[in-house]
Amino acid sequence: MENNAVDLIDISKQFANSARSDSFAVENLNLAIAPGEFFSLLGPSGCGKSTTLRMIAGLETPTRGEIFIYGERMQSRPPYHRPVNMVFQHYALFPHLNVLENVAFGLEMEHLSRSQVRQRAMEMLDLVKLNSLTSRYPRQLSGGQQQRVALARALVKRPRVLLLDEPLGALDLKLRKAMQLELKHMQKQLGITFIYVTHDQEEAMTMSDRIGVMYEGHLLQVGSPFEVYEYPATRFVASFIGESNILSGRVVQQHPNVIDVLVDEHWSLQVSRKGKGEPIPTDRRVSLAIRPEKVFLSSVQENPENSPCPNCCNGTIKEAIYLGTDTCYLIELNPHHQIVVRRQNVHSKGFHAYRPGISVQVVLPPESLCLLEDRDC
Amino acid sequence: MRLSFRSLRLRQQFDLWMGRIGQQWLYINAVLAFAFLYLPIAILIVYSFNNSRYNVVWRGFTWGWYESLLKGSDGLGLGTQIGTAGMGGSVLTALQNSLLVAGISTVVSTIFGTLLAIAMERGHFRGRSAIATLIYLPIVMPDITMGISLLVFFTLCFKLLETVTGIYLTLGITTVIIGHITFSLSFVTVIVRARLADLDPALEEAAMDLGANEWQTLWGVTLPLLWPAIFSGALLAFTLSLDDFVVTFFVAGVGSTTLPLFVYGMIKFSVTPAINAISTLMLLASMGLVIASLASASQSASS
Repeated sequence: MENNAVDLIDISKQFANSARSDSFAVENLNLAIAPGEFFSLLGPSGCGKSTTLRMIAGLETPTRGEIFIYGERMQSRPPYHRPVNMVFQHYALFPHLNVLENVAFGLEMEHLSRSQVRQRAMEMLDLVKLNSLTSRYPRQLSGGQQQRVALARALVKRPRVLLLDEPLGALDLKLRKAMQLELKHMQKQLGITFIYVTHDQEEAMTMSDRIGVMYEGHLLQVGSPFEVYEYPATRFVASFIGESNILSGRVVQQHPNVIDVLVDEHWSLQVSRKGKGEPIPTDRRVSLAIRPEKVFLSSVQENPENSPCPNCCNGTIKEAIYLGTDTCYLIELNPHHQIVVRRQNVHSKGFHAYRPGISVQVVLPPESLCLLEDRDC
Repeated sequence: MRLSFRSLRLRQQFDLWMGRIGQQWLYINAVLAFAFLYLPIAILIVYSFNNSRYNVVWRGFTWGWYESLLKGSDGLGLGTQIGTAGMGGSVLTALQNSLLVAGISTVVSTIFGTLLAIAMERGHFRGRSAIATLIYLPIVMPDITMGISLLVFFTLCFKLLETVTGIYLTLGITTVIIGHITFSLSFVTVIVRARLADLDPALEEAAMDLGANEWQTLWGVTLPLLWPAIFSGALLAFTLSLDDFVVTFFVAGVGSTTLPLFVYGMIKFSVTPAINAISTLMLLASMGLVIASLASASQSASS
């Protein structure tokens, strides 16, 4: 445990005055974060990700469970005695202090000499490129500049873990993209553990070493962006991160390498067995997820006498939406099932490949289908 | 079709006229309302410059009444009118009392009111909502109820003290100050608490996160952001104390006559322009303080 930056052991948080008194903001959460890691907590609003972050910061007390930071027990230790600092969602800059005073605030609490405080604050303002605005007040700064001040104010304390609560939420798209790369770069340069809370899956994918997906107080899956995207653990993860076509079915037969799943009375699909995970017993209700870009499309005419092809079926293009980088097709396979398929627009004339109304052949490759056990989420 | 068009035109015309009449009436109504509110005060101010002993007849302009008040001399022979030697002197004593009472009660009620507001807004303890309701009570309570209850309370306390220790105390400036603190406290608390409720709790959390303990957070972040509201509350407390008559009337003793009590005493003998002059000065002082208080409050709201 001493080797981890942060350990959350069976953490639960129940708010005393919440409307539903039995509801947990966070329930039985276990998580270990390695030193120097960029870890993102990802989930929709109200999933408990901010509450988890605030418990690490000491701004909330867990109802149950233990928090360790670098092996030290944080139980009942106030925020001002924890080796972590936080960048708040709306920055929470002190409006009565100017930029330099805001950044110096935390250092003054450490009883450093005045020159030391100034020197370290100025160094940090250099790092975030705000050294020309030191005497401005927060209200005189743009959103991006305020964000940098908030970052400098937290980093100047040289925290062992930096907590970021949707720090880029209030910025416009261009600036957000630029800041994402800058944050990632800064994290690598300083070697500090970052715990980043966001509801933006793209942001989490861009920056994180690992992502923890949260929903309704539970941590559903922890893994690298690749793992979380390619092998979602639950239906919720499959649909929240990226897009997924989700089909419900029942396991009917097990083979050494594949599992047969009956989706419809006349429609069964083969799914490749993935190495990990417990075997799913026959007759169990399951969900199948497949990413829109992993479905193969071809026109029926191209392939008149096709060799036996697993998971092939015919469909009709209902809609074709041109999205610039790719085109999104809504395809009706049968009256009960529609799927979304994406094709990259490699050629300029590619968009006209399939018009609405055309019959196509759809292939759902067995290795691209994810078998998910039906649970609550 | 044609008929409906015509009736539409008529309708529009009618609405237009009604709108105009309505606007005129609104204007007249506003003028009347303001006259109702401020005409008596305007008359009071005008007659404070009246060169006559009586308020009813205008005998020309004079600064005499103000001069006599400020000089503390007998001026236009008021001393004999009221039957006290050196009326100006007792005005100054009353003013002195008023300022002393207002000063001390303001300082005390501002400190405790601010602390109470912080406790109510940021604290987590039993009975918080009950206290929040109770703190409004002195604001809505009739002054006379408060005055009588304070009088009963003080009398009881003094009697108890006398039987237990033999020390004999009477009503005086101290009881006036305590009475004024009781009602000022609520106003300060309400004003400071409103500002505190608007204050983003993340600011205090950020301070704690940056290593400031509870005291350092209070001094470094909370109080600096509350100053305008605290100042505004203090000014209001000062104004209320300066103007209070009813509560003071019940709890004042010999030698603790405040300015409003003094004016009331003067009226018993005769309504001379000197009263108008004192009232005008009190009005100006109160208005100045209220305006300063409002300005401070709006500044705190905008920052």
